Amino acid sequence: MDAPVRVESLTRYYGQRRGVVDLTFTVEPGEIFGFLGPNGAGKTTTIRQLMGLIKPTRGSAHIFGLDCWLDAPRVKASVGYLPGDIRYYERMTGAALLAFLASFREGQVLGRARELAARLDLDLSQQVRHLSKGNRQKLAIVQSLMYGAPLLIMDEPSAGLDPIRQVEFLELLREEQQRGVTVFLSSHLLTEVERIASRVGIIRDGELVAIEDVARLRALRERLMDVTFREPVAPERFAGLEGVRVVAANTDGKQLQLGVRGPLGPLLAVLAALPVEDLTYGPADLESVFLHYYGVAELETVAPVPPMEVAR
Amino acid sequence: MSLPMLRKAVNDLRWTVVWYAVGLAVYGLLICSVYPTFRNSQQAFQSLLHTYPKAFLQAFGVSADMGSLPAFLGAEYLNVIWALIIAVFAIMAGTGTVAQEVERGTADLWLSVPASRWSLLSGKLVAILSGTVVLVLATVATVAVGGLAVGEPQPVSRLLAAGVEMLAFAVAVGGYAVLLSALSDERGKAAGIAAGLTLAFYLAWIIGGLVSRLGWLRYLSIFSAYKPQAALTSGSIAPGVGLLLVLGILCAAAGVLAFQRRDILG
Repeated sequence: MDAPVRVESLTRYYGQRRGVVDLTFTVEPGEIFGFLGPNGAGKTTTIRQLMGLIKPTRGSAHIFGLDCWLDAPRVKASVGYLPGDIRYYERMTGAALLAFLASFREGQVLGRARELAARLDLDLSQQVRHLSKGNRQKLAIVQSLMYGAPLLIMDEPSAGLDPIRQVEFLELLREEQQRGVTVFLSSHLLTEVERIASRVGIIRDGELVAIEDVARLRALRERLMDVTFREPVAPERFAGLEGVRVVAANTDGKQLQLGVRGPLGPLLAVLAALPVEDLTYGPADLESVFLHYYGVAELETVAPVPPMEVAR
Repeated sequence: MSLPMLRKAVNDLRWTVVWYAVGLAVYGLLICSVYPTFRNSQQAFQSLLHTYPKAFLQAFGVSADMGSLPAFLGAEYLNVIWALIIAVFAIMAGTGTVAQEVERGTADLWLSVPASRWSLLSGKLVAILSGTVVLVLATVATVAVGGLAVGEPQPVSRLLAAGVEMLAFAVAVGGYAVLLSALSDERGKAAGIAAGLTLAFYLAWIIGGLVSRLGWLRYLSIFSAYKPQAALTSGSIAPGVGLLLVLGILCAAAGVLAFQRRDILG
């Protein structure tokens, strides 16, 4: 069986401007592949080439063995596509829009669409122009899933969804995966990709930085923890902890910012013995992953030092 | 051709076509209603018209002999006004095919369906052509009804000949509007260029008629090939109709090809 997605030396320039350069990767059947990178990294350019919207400058992209540019109509027959920042025909109702899109496919597409809409609590009778941002995104999710396509290509799919719906959406994706569907999910949110994907391709400045298993990615990325103490605590108390570094500390010793990689248990054990007044633990930071690959100097412009005094 | 696309495009265009048809019919009937007054004072009007330079009258599609309904309708309705109205329709509909989808960002969704680009675009083109045929038929029906009302019924063959002239003109304008749309990311830009081109054709036709040493300009204008008044008078279809149809079809085909090959940038 041909790979759901196979990209070889894929390169796209917009005139002199870089889009993506020399991307090579394969997405295996039944996996959820995260395509991770900051805004402007080239994720959407890659997806637009997969969907046959733009022609590669060099290299090739294949879906189930079909060339994405030359065989675009056949490629699309096996893809449920969710565009980033989706725009609709504003005067159509959700139901009319889905009926129009479904009319190009075979099968019980609309029945599935109604089920999905009910599950996401989406009213299909409203004109699209009256839908909120979150409901527009729900409609995008419904239209991409309703075909029962063997491959889903999703560009920032949870943008605009509230946290509860994000969880619901990820659950839907897991169910799709159980049915054997392959998912190519583009996002700039490390936490989102971590929660659902098994492998992750990391892209930055148009180039593929790495392809990692999510377990390895978890070991690489750093999360920031802000701790406030009732009494001053010396930063050196955390010096011996593996995977923990002091990012910043204020002068009175009552506030610390820690960078945490790996298991949390040893750090919590230390904190339990200290006079902790408050604590916040931030989401995983994509830039901290880049830090691993590029080093601090190259990322200084990307990851500014937090507004605390740096520990001496 | 994609039938789902055709259905949607017809649905999108239906009210536009209805309102254009109503406008064309009302204007046509208004002109017909004025005709008896003109006919009753024909000698006075003819004397007045003869005071104008012949070239001036020809330039604006007015024949010196306006003693018949076809000549009157040609001068006051079909030769220029109708052509300009239908040009607006053809330009707005034609430039909406591709450039509007790209500009509004709906092209991603539009092209996510498993159909080739040419079949999607040809679905839209057939819908526009159908709308144009409806407008032509509305005009022809208006002339037929108006003719009956003023006691000068027009033979069906002449009405149909005039309809063919009108349709060919609309196809020509629609064709280059579609081509410009397929090449552009902005509907406004495509429509502006198409409107400018139509105006240039009109001016070439006028100036070519007014200034004898620039008479060759008329050969560059689509208005020279469009002769609804002659068709309504004699029932003959001018050879220029073929040129108009070829121009429109070639431009539309080039538009489909260009759309097939172009990038759709987000």
